[in-house]
Amino acid sequence: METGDIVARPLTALDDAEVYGERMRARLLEGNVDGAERALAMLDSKVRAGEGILAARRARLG
Amino acid sequence: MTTWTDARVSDALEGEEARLDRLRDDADRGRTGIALLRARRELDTVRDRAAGTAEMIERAALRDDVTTLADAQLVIRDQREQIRRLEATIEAMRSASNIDAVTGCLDRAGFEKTLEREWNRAMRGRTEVGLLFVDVDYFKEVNDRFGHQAGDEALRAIANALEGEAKRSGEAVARYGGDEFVIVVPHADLAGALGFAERVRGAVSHLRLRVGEGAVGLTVSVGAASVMPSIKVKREELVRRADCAVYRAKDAGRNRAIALGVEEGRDVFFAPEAPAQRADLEKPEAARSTSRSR
Repeated sequence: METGDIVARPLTALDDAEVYGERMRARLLEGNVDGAERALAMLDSKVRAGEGILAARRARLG
Repeated sequence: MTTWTDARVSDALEGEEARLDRLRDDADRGRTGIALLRARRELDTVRDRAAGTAEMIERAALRDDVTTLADAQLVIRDQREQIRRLEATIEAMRSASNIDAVTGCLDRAGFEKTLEREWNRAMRGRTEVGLLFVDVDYFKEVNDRFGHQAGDEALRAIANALEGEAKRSGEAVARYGGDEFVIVVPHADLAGALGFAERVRGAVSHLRLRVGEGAVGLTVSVGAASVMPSIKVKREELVRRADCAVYRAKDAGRNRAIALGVEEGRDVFFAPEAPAQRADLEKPEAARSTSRSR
């Protein structure tokens, strides 16, 4: 089992999610509903990706 | 059997799951924010229509146009009811989302939930939790001299400055009440919390509030504390220490950051620098080794 692989992949997914989270907040502050919705959709999708990856790694860890 | 490598990976996964929880919270707040924006826009539209109807009523009254007057009065009654319903919906959404209406940061209930979540996480992970109390200096004078609108502007500017500093995952800014804010700082030891407090103080000290032709400077006093949660040490103790520290910062002249730690069972106050100028305060030993480099 390569520790580096296991830690690095979920980090990337969640880092992306944080970027979209910040974008969503910025669009909300601007009052840009459409932009906020697009960022939220990406945030949701990255969160789901992160959930999948983490669940798989947790299962592999036992 | 869990190997050394497995244990390390398990810790890393625990951290990532904590991040996921926070991101889910972010997404939930975003959904509420979007719904709020939509409701506010609808409210603006209905208000515009109601203003148009009110003008129509005025004109009809001047012309003695009884039919139009009666119709328009029915319409405006509906519009006013719509406005009332939308305002109630917006207030309910805002209250449920724990968003402070003036500043847009978390409200007191949101703070309590966040602190509870980070506290439980710190208990599981055996890490420290830091807390800052941020009190606006001379806020009453801003309100009295320049009006409540200027006071609200000052609170918004300060909230923005605090959120600009609290960018790490898990860090959360909330309005505790009136002119007091709190910042939850996961994984911060006392020196880390004090360093953060000093940065927050510095960031606010650069703000200028525009009032009429001129501008006034804003400053805050900041109290910091950090504890390692355990069966014996409760959340209330963290709040007590940060609260005591901010009072001490006020007493010491305002526009400063002070931390409160406990050594050998007694409260000890710490300042971030220049201990010689403030002989009654001490510099924390921990300041030389921060667990959270910022």
